[in-house]
Amino acid sequence: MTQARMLLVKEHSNSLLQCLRQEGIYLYLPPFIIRLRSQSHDLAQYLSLFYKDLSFCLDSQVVHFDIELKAESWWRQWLSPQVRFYQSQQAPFLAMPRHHSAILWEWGLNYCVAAKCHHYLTIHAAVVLKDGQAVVIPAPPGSGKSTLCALLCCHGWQLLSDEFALIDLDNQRVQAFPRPISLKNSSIDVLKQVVAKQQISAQFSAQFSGTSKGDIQLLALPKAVHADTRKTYPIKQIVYPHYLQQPGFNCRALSKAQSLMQLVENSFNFALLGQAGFDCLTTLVDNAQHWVLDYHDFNEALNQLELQHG
Amino acid sequence: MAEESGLWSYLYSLSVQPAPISDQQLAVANLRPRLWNELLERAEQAQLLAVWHEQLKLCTQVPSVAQTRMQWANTLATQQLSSMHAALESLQQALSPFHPVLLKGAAYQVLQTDNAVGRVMSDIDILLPEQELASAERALWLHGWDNRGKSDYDQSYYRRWMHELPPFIHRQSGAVLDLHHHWLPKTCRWQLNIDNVLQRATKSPITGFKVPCLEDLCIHACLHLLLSGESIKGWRDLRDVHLLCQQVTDENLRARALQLGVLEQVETVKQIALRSFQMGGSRLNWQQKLWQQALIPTKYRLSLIDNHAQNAYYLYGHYLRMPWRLLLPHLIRKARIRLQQKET
Repeated sequence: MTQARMLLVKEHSNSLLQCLRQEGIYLYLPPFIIRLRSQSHDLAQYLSLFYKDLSFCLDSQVVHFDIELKAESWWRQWLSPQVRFYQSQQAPFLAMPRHHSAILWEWGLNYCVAAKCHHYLTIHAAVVLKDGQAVVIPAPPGSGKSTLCALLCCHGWQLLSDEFALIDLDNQRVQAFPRPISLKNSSIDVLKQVVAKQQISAQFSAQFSGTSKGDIQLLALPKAVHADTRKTYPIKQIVYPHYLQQPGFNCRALSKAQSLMQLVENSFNFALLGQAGFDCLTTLVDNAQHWVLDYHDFNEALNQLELQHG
Repeated sequence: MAEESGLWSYLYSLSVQPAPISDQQLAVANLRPRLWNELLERAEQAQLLAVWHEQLKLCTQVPSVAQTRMQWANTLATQQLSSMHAALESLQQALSPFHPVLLKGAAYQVLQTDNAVGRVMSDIDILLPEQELASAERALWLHGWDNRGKSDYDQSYYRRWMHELPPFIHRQSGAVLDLHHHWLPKTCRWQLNIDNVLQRATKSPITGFKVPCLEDLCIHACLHLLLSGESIKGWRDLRDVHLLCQQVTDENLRARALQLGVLEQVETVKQIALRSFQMGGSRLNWQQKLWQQALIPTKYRLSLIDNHAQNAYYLYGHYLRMPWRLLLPHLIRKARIRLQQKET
């Protein structure tokens, strides 16, 4: 078979919409290949800014996910324009307003990975990298994992993912899957200040108000902050953060058994993978350090993490 | 276009009859990525991806992404099978005072029929004599199976018109159970004496449950296919019928269908299956062709006509299940609820 002609998103931002509207693009978003079709101008613009360093091609490829964002029927468009997310012609969610297309794409892709992707052990967690070793930050809601993850990435850490730890079942290493970070409500302003102060060439999306998770902005970090997606990384630490409203700081070790239970709870497919999932997770837990981190001041948290990581 | 429709027929036929590995290699190597995507999509919709995984496991020409997707499905199917066995164990305790008979997916797995490997199922179907239904329901409640979440309308719809109770969900495992007292809804245009089926059921080898005889499984698959209205899983359902038909003799099947009074229906589905999998059969009449188009389209990219065929099939299924005076209010109500859900 002839090699497909690879194009860079940022070099074709003008024709992206047209391609999405016709046969769709075959997007290389490692470790996945995704076919994407959409009529949405907003989505094309979002991709050209927030996925600008990715490649795509127009010759058809066998894909992991075949995704289409489709407008609802014409008479509903007239009431309020809505789009719906389709994966292999199946629609797992309710429709969302047309100007939320970018969020719908992000959530839809999250759904695909969480529901289908069973050659990894998948855990709901942010993952960051330093010195070739990863820190997994599992996510009980409200713990502020995305905020902590984004802050770390503004202070010399690299991003593997703010949503998924994709763990290789055979060697327990974690796959890089960096995408824009989804920031909610008050953490948006926090990050805007930090990004300005650290002089990082990051990009904030428009605000998506009134989604089921509140107000959201997506943050794209520069390419250099993304971990190399061709590689997998060993997991050194598993950290359970808890943001304190009042000043205070406490970092304590968590037992392996407790950490294991929390990881099981945050896993999408642990039960489904049976023995393979169990073997993978127990080995992973055995080889990592586990901490609970209560913090108010981010710098204290950062210092502690770097100390433990050294 | 004609070439493509031939290719689809060939791919469908592979799903019921493994070709020699050299032929498979050739067919698979010639599939362009666009067709691979289409094949994976149709198989995913019909819940046959794990079956393809099994079918193509010796084939070295499968692109790695396609292999990955089939592996995902296979992982899911493997896990489902083990949770089904766990659920059957729990059900065996709950239903020990009664005379339950496994139907459909669970029966195929327990009997290891030819369609069983890689076949996934969303729920367990069990048939009971109607007089045992009320006490069986209470027994299930005591054993952690709950069917009380439905709206009042749905509850009364099931209990008044349907051949099954509202689905049970196991509180801990999340397993789903459909408890039937008949194959056909009470309002169905066809009727048969279900005692015949219960009487011929025999104890299954690996569980304490009874299973219908193979002829009955086959006949049930045919009736279910016509009544379900769900064309999305048409490929899988036709495959079930075809492979089950192969496991019984034609005479026995016909005699049994005649005895149950559903010979015509069984013949219709059997013909569609034979044609669809290129295993001979006579020419289809216009209606059979329409169903074939709805269930197992041979074209790349579904056209408006296929959509109409699917809609017609959906309506036909419902038309068989209920007389119009019941059906129309029900469909209107369903549509309204769906619209309201969209709005929120």
